[in-house]
Amino acid sequence: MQLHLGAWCESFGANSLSEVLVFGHVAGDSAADYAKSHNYAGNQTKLTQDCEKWLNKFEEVTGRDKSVGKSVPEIRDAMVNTMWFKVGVFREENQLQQAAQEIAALEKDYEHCYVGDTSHVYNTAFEQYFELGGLLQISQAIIQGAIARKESRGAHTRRDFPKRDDVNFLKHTLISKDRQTGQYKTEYKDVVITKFQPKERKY
Amino acid sequence: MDVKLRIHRFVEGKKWVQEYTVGVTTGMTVLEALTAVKEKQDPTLSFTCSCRSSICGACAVRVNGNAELACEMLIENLVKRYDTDVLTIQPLGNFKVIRDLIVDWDPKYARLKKIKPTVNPKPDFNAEDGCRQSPADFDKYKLYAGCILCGSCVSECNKNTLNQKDFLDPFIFVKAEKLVADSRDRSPEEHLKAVVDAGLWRCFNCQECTAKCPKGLDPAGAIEKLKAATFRYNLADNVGARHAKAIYDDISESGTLDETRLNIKSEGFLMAGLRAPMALRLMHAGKMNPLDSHPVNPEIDTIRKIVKNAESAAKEGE
Repeated sequence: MQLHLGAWCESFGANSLSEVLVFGHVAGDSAADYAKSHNYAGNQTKLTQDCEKWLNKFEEVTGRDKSVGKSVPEIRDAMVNTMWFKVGVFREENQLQQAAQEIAALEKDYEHCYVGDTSHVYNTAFEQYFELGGLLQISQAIIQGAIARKESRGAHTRRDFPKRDDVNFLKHTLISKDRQTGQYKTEYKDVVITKFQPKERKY
Repeated sequence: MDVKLRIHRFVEGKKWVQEYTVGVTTGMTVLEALTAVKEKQDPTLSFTCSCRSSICGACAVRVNGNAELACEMLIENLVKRYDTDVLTIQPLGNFKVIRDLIVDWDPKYARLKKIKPTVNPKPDFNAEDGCRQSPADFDKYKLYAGCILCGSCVSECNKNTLNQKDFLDPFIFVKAEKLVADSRDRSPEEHLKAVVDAGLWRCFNCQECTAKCPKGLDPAGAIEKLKAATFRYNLADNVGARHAKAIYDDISESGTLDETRLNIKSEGFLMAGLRAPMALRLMHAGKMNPLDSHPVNPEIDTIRKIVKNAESAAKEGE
């Protein structure tokens, strides 16, 4: 799975609108290119099949009984607690490892969580269920990236590795999830340096 | 403290009122109460929200008949205001309801398009030099740029409740005034003409929109400014504008309204002629005499002073 993220919105009213316009355009172009180069254009049959797949998933997920497991808000609150207390600005190896385990456990809970709304009209309970799935994956990706980056840089501060390490970590972290095994993989990509030389913040 | 929420539900054609009891803590907003119900009591209760900080406009609902931004209105304040621990929560008024407290914005966007809602830049702006504007010119519409499109203003709009087809939503008038007052726009009269055609003069002036705007934008004031602009842009040849002008003339000349001629001045001789049967009835009842000379208010000098003061105050406000 490849994500075409729009933009990290700075904050309301500040850079967000221009960022949405600029990076929305970039992300749109990139998604279109990806679709073209991967023969993703699809056809009516595939569309019908995918629709049916999602509809079945919707019926299965929303039709679950309350007794099957934790509710969507319960899992989300647990995720928020883990991320807030163990994956904040100041990070440490053992806390990050705990967080990885906790989020992995929540990903298991998520597989049979309770949604509780079967309506096909503006189903915000299902919407929140769907969003939570993405949030759990992104949380795990953040944790894996934080564990692997044994240095401090920008808003990522490792108490156990307080120095910036350009020799080993002047590079982008790429995290991907294997659809079959559910395992996360960490890879790296070189940074392309153009106009501005990267340097440590001393102010 | 326990508060009972009576929520108007609507799901797939079924309508009912459902009661939930929520334990309210100090500082709890309406949105937090709704969220508490959804998370702990009933996942099917549906409403929209996003930023939770009064900036995105997604969460406006009606509480005890008045539009509120759910994320900033505190339950304790409502309990105090209405002196009750039972609050009725409904979707915004003058909207089509999709489900529960969720309303349909698509028809509103279609209406918004009527006023050509984008800046038409003047030809002297270009990519190299940009699109400069003095702070003073920016200040002329800055207030109206603060609209968050929450829909609160139209919820209790009496004109929209009577008939939506020949009028616009207050927030659309706000948007129009923002464009008309924007010095970068090449053709303010284009927006203005569209607004006149879409019903500018049909506003009842009831001020519900101004009372409900959580951002203090004064949509009713924007409507008045648009009306004033029609006189500057030669777009005042219509019943509403003529009616306003006739009242203004009467008040400045004599300090009283000349009701006998008001209709003729507003609607024109021909159209007003259609009202002849009513005029005859009024004459018959002794309520109107076209032969009477129009009286002059003995306080005419004071009235003229008031008119003058109001005019200079309006100029300062511009």
